[in-house]
Amino acid sequence: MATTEKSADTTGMQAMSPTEPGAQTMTLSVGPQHSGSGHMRLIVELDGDIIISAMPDPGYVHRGIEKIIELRNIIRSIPVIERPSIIDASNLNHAWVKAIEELQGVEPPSRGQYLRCLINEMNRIMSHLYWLSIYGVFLGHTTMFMWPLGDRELFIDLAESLTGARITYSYLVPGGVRRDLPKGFAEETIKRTKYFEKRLDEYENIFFKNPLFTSRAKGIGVLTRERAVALGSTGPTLRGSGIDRDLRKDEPYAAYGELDFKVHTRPDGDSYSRAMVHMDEMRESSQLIRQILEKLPSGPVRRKAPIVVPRGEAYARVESARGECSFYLIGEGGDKPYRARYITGSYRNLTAIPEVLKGVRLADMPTSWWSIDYWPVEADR
Amino acid sequence: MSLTHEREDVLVKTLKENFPSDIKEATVVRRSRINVVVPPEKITNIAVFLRDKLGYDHPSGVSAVDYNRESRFEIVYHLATIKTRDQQDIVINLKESVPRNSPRAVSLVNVWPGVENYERESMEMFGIQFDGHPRPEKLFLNDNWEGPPPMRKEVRFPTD
Amino acid sequence: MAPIVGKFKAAVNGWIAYSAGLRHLFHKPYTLRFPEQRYAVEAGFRGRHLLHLDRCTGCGICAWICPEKCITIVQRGDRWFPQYFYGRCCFCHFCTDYCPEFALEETVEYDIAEYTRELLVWSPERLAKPPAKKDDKYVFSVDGPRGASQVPEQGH
Repeated sequence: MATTEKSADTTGMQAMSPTEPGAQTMTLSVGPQHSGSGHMRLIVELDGDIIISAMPDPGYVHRGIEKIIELRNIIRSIPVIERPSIIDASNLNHAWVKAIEELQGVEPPSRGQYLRCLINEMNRIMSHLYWLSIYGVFLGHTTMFMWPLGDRELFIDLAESLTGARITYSYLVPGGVRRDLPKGFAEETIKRTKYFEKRLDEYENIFFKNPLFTSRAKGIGVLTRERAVALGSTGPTLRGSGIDRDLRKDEPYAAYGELDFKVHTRPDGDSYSRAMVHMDEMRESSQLIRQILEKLPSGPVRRKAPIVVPRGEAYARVESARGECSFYLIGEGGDKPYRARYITGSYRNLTAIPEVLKGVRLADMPTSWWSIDYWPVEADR
Repeated sequence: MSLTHEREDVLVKTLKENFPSDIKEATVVRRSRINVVVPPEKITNIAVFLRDKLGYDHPSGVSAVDYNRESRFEIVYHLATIKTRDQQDIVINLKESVPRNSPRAVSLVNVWPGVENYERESMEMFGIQFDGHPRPEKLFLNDNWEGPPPMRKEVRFPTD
Repeated sequence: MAPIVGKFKAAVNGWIAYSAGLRHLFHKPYTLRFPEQRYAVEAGFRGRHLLHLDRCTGCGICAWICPEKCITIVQRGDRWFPQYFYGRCCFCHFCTDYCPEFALEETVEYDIAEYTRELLVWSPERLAKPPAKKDDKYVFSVDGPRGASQVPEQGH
C-alpha cells in the first residue's frame, strides 16, 4: 500500500513504495490537461509499462454545489443541481424533486410521472451516447467519436420540442413537470427510436465487434463481484460485474413500476462487459420510450406544491445514467434546505478506479477507466 | 410494493436484541428507511454486525451534518444491501454524533472500503477527524486551502 | 484448430467493421453554415424573453425566483419593470412560469450575442420589442436520403 506523508507532500507524488527493494518505479501524473484523463488527475505509479497503483486526484472542477444549495430556495436550486452532469440533467433533477416531494407529501399526477420517465430515458440515451463517443476517441476510433454525437442530435431535438431547451432542461419541478407534450411528438419520437436502434446495430458492426476493440477490452480492467460491492460501485460499473441491481426495478419510482423492461448485466467484469452493458441499456431505453408513449395516461401534468422544505429528513435516490444519484435532505421549515447532501453516481464509482487500473498496461488505461463512465464534474460537484 | 413495513420492523428488533445497551435509538422512519443512532465509540461493532449478520454490504454514502445550534456534527452512513435479495429497497442510516468543538470519529474504512472518499470529503469540508483513515488528505479542495472547513454553518460566502 | 478459427472470425469481424464505415465514405457531411443556413426552432423554445408592458405590475416575483439573480426591477415613471442581464441568464424561464400576470413570454430569438457586456443588459423597452424575423429554414429529420440530417423545411 502507498504510504504518504501529510505535511510536505502537496502533489501526492512522493513516497509511494516500490514493489521490491532495489526496484524502481516511475510516478506519472496523467494530469487534467491530458487528453486521456478528463478533467481530473490520475497519479499513476508505473513499473515499466504496468500500472502498480493509480490514485485519482479529483477536485479540479469543484464548485461547492452543496453550499450553494443551502443558500437558495428549492426552485432556484434546480439549474444548479442539474449542472454537475448536464448531459444527464433530468435524472439529477429527479432525485432533487423526489426528495422535496417526500418531505412535502406531494404526489405528482400520473401523466406527470410518465413524462418524467420519458425525459429520464431520453437523458439516459444521451448520456450513454456521449460516453460512447468519448470512448471511441480515447481508443483512436474517430468515427466512433462523430457518429454517437450526431445521433445524439435526434434526442436533443426531441427534448427541445418537449422542454424548450436543448440540454439544460430544468423540466422537473416539485409537483410534476413544467410542460405537456407538443403536437406530433409521439409519432416523431417513435420514428426516431426505430431509426436509432438501426444505428445501434451499425455501432456494433463498426466498433463493438471490431477485433481492434475486443482485443483491447476483453479481460482488461477487471472488477470482481466482491470488490464491486464492497467499494460501493453503482450503475453500469456494478451491472458489468454481474450484479443485478437497478433502482428502477428495486425501488420503483415515478412510473417505472408499471413499465416492462429488463435489467441488463454481464458476468465478466472487464471493460468489454461494462461497455456492452451501456449498449444494452441504450436499446432498452429506446424501447422504453416507445412503451411510455403508448401507455401515457391523460390528465394534468403538474400539481401545486409550495416552495417550502418542511421539517424532517428524506433520503431519495434515482437511477441516473452513471449510477445511483441520491439526496439526503434535511429541512427546517423555511424555503431553503438546512442540509442537502448530494451523492452522484460518478462519485460513488471513484473508488473503483484504482481497483480497475491495477495491473493494467499504461496504454490500456483509457480503455479501462473510461468504461466505468466516471464523469469528473459529477463527482466533484 | 407493499405499504407495510414488516421487514423493517424485524431488522430493528434484531438490532435492538443484539445491542440492547449500545443503540441509542432505532426507528423505522417510513417504508424502506431505517434510522439507527449509536454513540461514536460503539459504531465499529454495530457496523460489523450490520455487514456480516444482516448483509448490509453496499455503502451508499456518508453525509455529515452541522447542527451548530446543538453543538454537534452528525455523521450518517447510508447502507444498502446487495446480498439480501428481498431487501433491495431498504436503506439504513447509521448515525453518530460528535461534539462540535472536538470532532473525532472512528473511520469505518476497514468495514466498508467504499466509504474512504466520503470520509475524506467530510474531513476537509467539516473538519471532522476520522481516526484510522488511510489517506487523510484533501480530496476536492485545493492542496493549499488555508481557510476554515467550508461547509460549516458559520462560513459565509458572498453569493446570493 | 481453435486459434485458426479465432483468427478467421476476427478477420470477418474486421471486414464487417470496415465495410460498415466504407458505406458512408462518399456521403456529404451535414453541417449547417450558420448564419447563412439557420436551424428552425419551434415556438416554445426558451430564447430571450418578451415583456408585455401593459400587463406587468412590477411585483418582482421574477426577480425573486431567478436562479442567477439576473433581473433588476427598475422604475419608469410611476411603474416598475424588470431589466434583464443576459450575461448570467441560463434561460430556464422560471420567471416566465411564475409571473402572475403572464407578462413574460418565451421567444425563439437565441442569437443575442454582443461585443460588450453593457449591451447584454436589456432594458424593459428593449425586452418589449417583438423578436426579429429570421429566415430559419432547416429542420432535423430522419427521413433524409441517408438517414438523419438537416433538411430544408417544407414550404421553403
